[in-house]
Amino acid sequence: MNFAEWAQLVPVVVLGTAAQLALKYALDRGSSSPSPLLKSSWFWVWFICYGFATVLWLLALRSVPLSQAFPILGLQFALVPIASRWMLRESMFGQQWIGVGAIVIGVALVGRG
Amino acid sequence: MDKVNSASARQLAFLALMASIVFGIIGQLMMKSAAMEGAGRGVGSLVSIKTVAALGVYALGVINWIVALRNVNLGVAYSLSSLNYVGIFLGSYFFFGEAISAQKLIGVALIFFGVMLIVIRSNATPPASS
Repeated sequence: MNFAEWAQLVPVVVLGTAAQLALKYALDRGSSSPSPLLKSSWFWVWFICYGFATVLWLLALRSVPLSQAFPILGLQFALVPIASRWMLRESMFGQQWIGVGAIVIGVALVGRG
Repeated sequence: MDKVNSASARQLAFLALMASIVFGIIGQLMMKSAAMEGAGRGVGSLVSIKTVAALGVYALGVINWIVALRNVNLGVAYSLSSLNYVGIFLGSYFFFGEAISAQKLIGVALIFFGVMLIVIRSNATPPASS
């Protein structure tokens, strides 16, 4: 994969991570009934991030082989716990750091093809 | 809440899990196919019947995944979701003629291993309290 292709896929993962955090904020701060959820601005942050990620994903798929692009989405599993630790003050356990390392090496290998 | 009900609920959940994997794989293959049609043209060309159909199938996968997670153990669900990688590799090879190298296979195995380590909280390593 060349630089332009990475530059299309990495934002998909970053926006996907932002969407997950926004949804968590929306759900934590709203009540359990769905109507206040729609009034939560975090819910709309989720919606917009998810929408942009989908468009970028489709643009990336124009040139990146699916067998490379799809596994690279797994990078989001590495970013979500790190972002949650940083922004939601959730703790990460040792095993998860090893998981992050494995994903990063795996993504690099898949990206090289 | 009797045993028969919970047993059939579990069976339904597994059915939803398998459906989520099948829809997920087909949805991604359809997205790839739809995306390639508009290659070289503007962003607007993404809007097509094919794209809408692909997103619809993919959404069915997401809905089934959420339903399944209510009654299936997280570890089991994510273990089975490794079938996504298998299906997408096979589909990419057969429909789009993509090369499947040893390096890609090792990379995917590492990614799957990493996801499992992150998702499954082993009892041997309790989270550090801060």
